[in-house]
Amino acid sequence: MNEQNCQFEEKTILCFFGELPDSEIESAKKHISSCGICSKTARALMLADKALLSEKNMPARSTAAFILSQAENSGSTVSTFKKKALAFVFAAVIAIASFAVISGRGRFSAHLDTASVSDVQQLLELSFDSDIYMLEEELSALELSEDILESSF
Amino acid sequence: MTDFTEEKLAADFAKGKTEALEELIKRCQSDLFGFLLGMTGRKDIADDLFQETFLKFVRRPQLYKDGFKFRAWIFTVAKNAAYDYFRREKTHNSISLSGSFEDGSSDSEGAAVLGLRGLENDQPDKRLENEMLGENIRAALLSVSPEQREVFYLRHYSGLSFKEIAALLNEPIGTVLARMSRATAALRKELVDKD
Repeated sequence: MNEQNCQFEEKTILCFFGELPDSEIESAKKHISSCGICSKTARALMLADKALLSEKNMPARSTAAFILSQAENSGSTVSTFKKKALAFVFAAVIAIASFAVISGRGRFSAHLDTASVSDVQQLLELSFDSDIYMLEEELSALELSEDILESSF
Repeated sequence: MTDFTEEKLAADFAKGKTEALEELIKRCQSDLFGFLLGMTGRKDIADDLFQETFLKFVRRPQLYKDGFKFRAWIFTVAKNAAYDYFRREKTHNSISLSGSFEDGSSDSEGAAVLGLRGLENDQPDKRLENEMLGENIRAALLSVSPEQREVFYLRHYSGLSFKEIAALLNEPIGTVLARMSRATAALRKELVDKD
């Protein structure tokens, strides 16, 4: 042991903070009472404990208030984002459903909405017949043109 | 909520309960601020670092892992914030890590500039006496290295044992105790040997 420190000082510190094993406490206390350095160490720790723990230093009130406001903002930011995301998803679902309905209905003309199956069939047949007729007309026109061309040569 | 542990409050805040954070701040602020004040020696800096520490938790509460001591975690964040501050200040050429000014003036002069001394001629009452003592303690500990200082303040303020502090600092317990011994020696010189 020299004047500046003692090899048992760490045990003195542990004893002061109540972290020494029970079996060593008695011998540590005996040493502290007989060692000049360790008794001063214990006294310094006692004074420090008394002073620092009675101080109750606090951060500024505005600091704590700012921290809490940040917490509230980040919380409301999250809930606003969630709401917007849900609204977007909902709108997308509505849009897709509407598109599906509209494109399905677009295969029939508006006045066919209430038409029966047999009516639709008749119309399709008429439409087909009409197309055939028009094609025949066009073919006749072409044949006539051919004859005119041949006769000109 | 006053019966909840700090770990439960932290978990509740992570789930979105802002009132849990208010209770957490109330419980930790004195000790955490005391630690930062001791580490830096300045109330304004301690205030900034306190805010920085808690905002890290507020912005990313998932960084705190459930099952660990909240105190150990928050004091680790605070310690890292203090060291970041020291690094920044070192580049700005103000207070060196050893506690003395770059121009060579002593730490007691430095402490005076920091406003940590000055009421020696008054006749203080008990409260003021404790305040003066607190200031003297901080001034004395500014003369030791930040590593020694942090062990002292962690033991006094965080409520963690030396074993837990060793785990927090990722150091052997012998190293932690040696640092505490150096810090205590500085205190002994300031508080007891001068009597």
